[in-house]
Amino acid sequence: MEDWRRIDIDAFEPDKFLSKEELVPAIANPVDEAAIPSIIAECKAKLSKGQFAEALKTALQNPPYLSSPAAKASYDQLVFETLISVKNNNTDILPFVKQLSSDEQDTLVKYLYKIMDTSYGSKQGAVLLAWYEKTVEFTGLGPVIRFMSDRRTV
Amino acid sequence: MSQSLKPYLTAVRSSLTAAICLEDFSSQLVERHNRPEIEVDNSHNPELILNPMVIARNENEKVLIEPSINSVRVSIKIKQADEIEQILVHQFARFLTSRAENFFILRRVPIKGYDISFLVTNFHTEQMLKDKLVDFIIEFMEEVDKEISEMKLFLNARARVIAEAYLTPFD
Repeated sequence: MEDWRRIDIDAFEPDKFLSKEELVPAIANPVDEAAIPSIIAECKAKLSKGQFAEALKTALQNPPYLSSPAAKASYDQLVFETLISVKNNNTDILPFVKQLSSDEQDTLVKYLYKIMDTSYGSKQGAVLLAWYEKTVEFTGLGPVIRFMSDRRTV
Repeated sequence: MSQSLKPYLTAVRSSLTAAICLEDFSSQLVERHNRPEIEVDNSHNPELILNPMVIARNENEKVLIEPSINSVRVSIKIKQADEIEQILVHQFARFLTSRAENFFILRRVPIKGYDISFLVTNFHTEQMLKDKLVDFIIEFMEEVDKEISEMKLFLNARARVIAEAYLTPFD
């Protein structure tokens, strides 16, 4: 066997290391990938009717944790559009943050960080930062810490 | 302070406060080693690395915060509107990084795509106050923009004086 000193024997120890996939906890009722287009359509319909609070709730209720990157990207776009349109049509966004449940607030912060990393999100930095400021002002640092440590990424 | 700078800095501040929550942690791979886990190749123990955060004000100004169990890496992309600013930022960052040991938390080489990086480890938080560390990074971000635009003004003024001096004989 060539260069046996360099073989990574720890890799063969099954109990010792966790892989990235094993870190993700079991998710109770994951969103079906096929259901994502219908959620997007529902949310957009609510937005066009002017039901902003409901649209925001729909978008943040059940994020696709286990979907493919492409499906997640389309969902990011939806959340982004929702946030922009809520901000554009309302002067104060704090009531919208307040009416979300604490899980939904966590999801909101997750999406804010994710969208700021995208090219379309960084162009609208001011809007996203306004959302972020209002959310963290209301919730404190909890959602930020949960964003860092939660392995269920959006 | 301009309108959009304040939410940007508050976002960075709260993210940093959340991220700088470090403890001493010995390497799980090498006996008697203690490394900043964010700097080590962590394909073996991904549980030590937390989700990285990006805070963007626009495409040219963003901050990347990469937390881990015993270290946080903060990378800043400084605003660069034109070529002069690019040169100024490059020189400024070079000036600082070549004196990195005086700044304790400054990283010698910035992360790709960013202009300047800081590495905060648990040893820094043991010696220094966490709030002051956060304040330092925020203040740095505030100052550096001012500094760069000031330098640009000086540069232009100087170029104008020199051009005049050169061209007076042909007047």
